[in-house]
Amino acid sequence: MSATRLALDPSRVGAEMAEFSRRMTRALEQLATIETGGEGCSLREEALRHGKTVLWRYGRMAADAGLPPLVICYALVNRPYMLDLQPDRSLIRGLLARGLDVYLVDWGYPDASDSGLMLDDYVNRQLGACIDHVRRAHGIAAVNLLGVCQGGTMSICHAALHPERVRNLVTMVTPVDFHTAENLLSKWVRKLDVERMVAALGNVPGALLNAAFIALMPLRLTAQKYAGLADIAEDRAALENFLRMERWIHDSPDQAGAAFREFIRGFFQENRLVRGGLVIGGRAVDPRAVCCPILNIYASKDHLVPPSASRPLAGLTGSRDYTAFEFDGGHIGIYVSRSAQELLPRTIAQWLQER
Amino acid sequence: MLTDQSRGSAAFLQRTLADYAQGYAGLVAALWGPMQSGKPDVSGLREMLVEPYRRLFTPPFLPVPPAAANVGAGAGPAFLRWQGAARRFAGVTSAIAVDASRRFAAALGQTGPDAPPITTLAELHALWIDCGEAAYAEAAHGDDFAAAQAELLAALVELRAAAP
Repeated sequence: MSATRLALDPSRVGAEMAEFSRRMTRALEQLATIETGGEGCSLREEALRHGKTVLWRYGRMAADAGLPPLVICYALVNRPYMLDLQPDRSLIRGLLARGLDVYLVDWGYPDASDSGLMLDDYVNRQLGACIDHVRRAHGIAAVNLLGVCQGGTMSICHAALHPERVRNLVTMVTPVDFHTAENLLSKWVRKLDVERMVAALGNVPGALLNAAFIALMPLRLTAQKYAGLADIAEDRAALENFLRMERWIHDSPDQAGAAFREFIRGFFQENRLVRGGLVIGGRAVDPRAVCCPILNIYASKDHLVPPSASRPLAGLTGSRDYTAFEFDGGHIGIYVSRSAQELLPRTIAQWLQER
Repeated sequence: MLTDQSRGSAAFLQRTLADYAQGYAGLVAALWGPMQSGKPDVSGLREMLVEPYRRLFTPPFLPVPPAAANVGAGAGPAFLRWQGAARRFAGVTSAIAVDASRRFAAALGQTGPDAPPITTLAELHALWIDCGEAAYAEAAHGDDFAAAQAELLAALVELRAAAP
């Protein structure tokens, strides 16, 4: 017989289990009655449509801060309404409340007809068309560009290829060095035969990527999360939050095959943004060509894009005005946690205001 | 074939929640007998807890294998490759489950100020998760895991190409 810290009283455990079952049943009943609504919660209008890409412009919520418009470039994976999930969890609202004029690049849902889209199409043509639209509409030479996650990597590339279009660059939870020791996703992806995968599938199913993201922490992101529902079974607002998050997590667009292959090879497998030799649309991408001010925001507990993957942006570019900001949280918490709601918009707005 | 297309639907969520609630209950069931004794032998729990861990480490994109009879003649080699890859990956996840179970039993066996008594199921479940994630993280960062996972995916892709 070995010593143990297990001090469970069987009768109490029985009661706890019964209560857990009751609460889970209650949570399921409640969830069945909740509608999570559309994509995002803030007023917006379509400013431009380019293929399946839509540029949204958000309605002003405060007096104009007098800054150039901020164009947000989201990732190709997952949907951008994570940035505007609900009124009290919205980075976009936080920015609007500080008088910023906010645009969002929404890549849409690629289908079979998009399987040949390449990074050139996304980084140069579509993002370029969005930025050009804003420049023309406002009569300005350059916009403020905020890239999120993979969208940050794409924004760095755009700024390197078109430095005259970007006045200030903000990157959020953005992978730059894909070969750091903590980057589990990269370790897996490096072994992937992406050529055969894309040849066989055409577009890469979003659900497959999603499964890979969940597999990074399979117990915390499944068993622990779902057992935690018992704790919020009587809290309808918390259940609504849960369902919105759950919907977002599983709302994964398929990835245009050619662009996916290019991104996996160039960034994940060959790490060319850091090592050099990255080419998009036949043009060399030299990060030293990015000379505008840079604010690099990363999350200390990010399991998807570890800080070590984001920090190397310092020193990689030609910018003499580089600021790093470490958020105490994870890859999702940086958008939706309570602490982020005030801190992130304030940090971004102040930094832009000072430039 | 590569993924469950119902993910994100209400029915999927209900199935998922029911499944994990069952897993939670399963932990209690495994411990029920030892608990009744008043002096549980935690080292004896190890084997019982391997299977629940193994289930959670199995990737959600792993489909149910088609019956060999349903695979066309041209897809035979792809099917064999898939079988081999699935077997290899199952071996990897089983090893992680054994390690997780060992860690869990060891954690339950700890005493002292850093290991307060566990008096609720919620605390037990949290420890179960911590031990599982620790074992998984260590293995998942290794070359064997990445290679087995990549081979599994490549075999699935080949099977799909051969028998769409």
